[in-house]
Amino acid sequence: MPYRAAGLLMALGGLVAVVGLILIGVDVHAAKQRGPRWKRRLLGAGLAVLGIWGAWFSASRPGSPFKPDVMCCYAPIPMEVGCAGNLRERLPLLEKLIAEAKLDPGVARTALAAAEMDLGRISMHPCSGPGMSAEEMTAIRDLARPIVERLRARLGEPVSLEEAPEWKALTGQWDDAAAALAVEPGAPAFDSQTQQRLADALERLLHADLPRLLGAGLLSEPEARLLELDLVRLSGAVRRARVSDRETTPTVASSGLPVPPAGESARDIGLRAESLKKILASGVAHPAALRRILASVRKDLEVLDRPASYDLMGATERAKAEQIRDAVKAEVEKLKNLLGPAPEDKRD
Amino acid sequence: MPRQDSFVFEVTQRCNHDCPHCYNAWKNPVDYPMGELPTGETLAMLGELLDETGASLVSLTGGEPMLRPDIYEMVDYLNARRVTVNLITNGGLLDDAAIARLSPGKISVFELPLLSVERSIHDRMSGKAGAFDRATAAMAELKLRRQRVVGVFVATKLNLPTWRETAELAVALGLDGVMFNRFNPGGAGVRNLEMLQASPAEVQAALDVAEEMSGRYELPISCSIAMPPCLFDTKRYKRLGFGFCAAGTARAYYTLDPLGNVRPCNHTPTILGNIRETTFEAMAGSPAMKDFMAARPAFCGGCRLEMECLGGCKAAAEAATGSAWHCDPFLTAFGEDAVRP
Repeated sequence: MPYRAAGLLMALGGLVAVVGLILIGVDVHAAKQRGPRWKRRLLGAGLAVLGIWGAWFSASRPGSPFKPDVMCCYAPIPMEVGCAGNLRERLPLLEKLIAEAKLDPGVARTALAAAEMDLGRISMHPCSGPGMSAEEMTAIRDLARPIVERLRARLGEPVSLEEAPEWKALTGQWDDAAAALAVEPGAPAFDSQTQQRLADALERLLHADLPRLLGAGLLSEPEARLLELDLVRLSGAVRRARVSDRETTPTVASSGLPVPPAGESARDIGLRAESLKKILASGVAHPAALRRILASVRKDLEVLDRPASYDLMGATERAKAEQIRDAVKAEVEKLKNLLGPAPEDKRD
Repeated sequence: MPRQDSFVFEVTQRCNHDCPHCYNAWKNPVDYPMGELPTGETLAMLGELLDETGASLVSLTGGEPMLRPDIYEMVDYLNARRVTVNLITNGGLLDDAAIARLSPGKISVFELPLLSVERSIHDRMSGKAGAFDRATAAMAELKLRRQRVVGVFVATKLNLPTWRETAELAVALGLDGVMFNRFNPGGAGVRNLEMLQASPAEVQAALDVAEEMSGRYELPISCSIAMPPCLFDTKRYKRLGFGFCAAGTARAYYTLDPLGNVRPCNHTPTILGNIRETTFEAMAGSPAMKDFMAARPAFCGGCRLEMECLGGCKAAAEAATGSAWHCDPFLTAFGEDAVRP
């Protein structure tokens, strides 16, 4: 524990003890007359030592040159990771360095990709911390967007979703995983090595490629959220799939009861409803992304259209699921208008 | 049984760079044992040290650690032992394939040199053309793979004029922190004092910039090489972290070389013994270690911070003069400017 925190805890403990003694009505004047003198002196000396320690530790501050709990030569630097809180400064600095040709063009592209990824990540998963309120994040995004656009143009990066290598990777690996999972119920989908490979690839899509597409402005935020939901579901299916070279983990009591198919689909569609509404309200969509999103939504709607899917559901739950289904169906019909003409080599 | 939080492992003495500031112990004018052990013996040696010390953090360095093809086996072995691994590398061999093999999650922190925003200065300080482009490429790729990366700026006369812009480069690359290390003479650095040694005033001015940069960009900056408080007013910096010499304490960074020789730290050429022949406990309690711990220069006598500061870096004193009891070369050069705290 850091010395300062230990000191503060000690001081707090002492304060609580004094307040406690007052509250329970201890007569301090009478107490100091009772018991053997050596015991009272020992207690007094102990309290004095603790007091001095507490004061000394509390007085030490971060950055003090001789504070052994801070760091020592070649110890790892203390740092917070993942918040990307300095993005508002990072992108203008990157633009300046690229303009001054300080960076190799290849390095500049990778550095921009990393900045876009972090920008996408904080948009999808806001992190708490100083300067990261919702308003601040909006301000960062507003500042970043034109810089990202200028840098992508300058560095010759793809400006459409379909051309972006991350999108190609996303759709390709998504389709690979879906194809691998398409086996007869109960049959092993793949071996454990393939399972690991697919799981790793999906992790990368979720945490790097998808946020980057959002940060680059090639996907909108609701589109990224919808694709994320699909990828999370796919990733879970890959991890849970039966593999050919390992025993399946037996179901245990804590696994809970099986969820009715309609319940699962209603939940997943419910999670999508708000983002679908946002796309509809904006009136703008990236057709390639929307096509994929709607294909996935349709699969859930098909489940919800089958009466047998509701077998394990109560009447109230069923009514709610059907209500969600009907609302989303209506949205899907309207969203079709944003798709434009279907591409010739449509894969989904 | 002695408990150590961490140690440094110099996996190889070979290097593909030729930095004029390099402090590697074998570059001192001493007869330092050279060589490497086969992979199996290396892992066994690491295992012995971990068993005895219970260390939970190992920093892999060199030379250039990526020159050893079995570096991945070492990392996997340490990961299997649930030891946190830091990798200190010049980045020259950290191509996409190497980075893919080391991520995700195998390395806690990658430490790479970021010696200047100016390509020519970085390359000159690395003794290698193209070093800047390779190091920045590795940093950018590591950040794209969501790894933790720290840039190391060794402050010398050559690169201090570019420090502000170099810190901004660290921000632009999305680095997680920067180490601002004053040039600490040792190894090859002793021969290049004239070319590299900046004055306390120049370093202090750079610390002012570091404090400003750290605040403006929320960039963690630490100064791990001890800053003697008689030459630097470190108390005025609220955001910077300052290191100290931890030799002999539980937080010391005892250093293991590729042959199993153990030293009190990575800067000193003093060998305490070999882990394959003797126990760590015997080395930590040896007369050589006790002498290293006790060492402080006569210059510091009577200073109220003598026992905490220990005169800056005693390993640098040893590398430059042959004795850890002599002055840190920085104190030797600028002792007349010293103001006792």
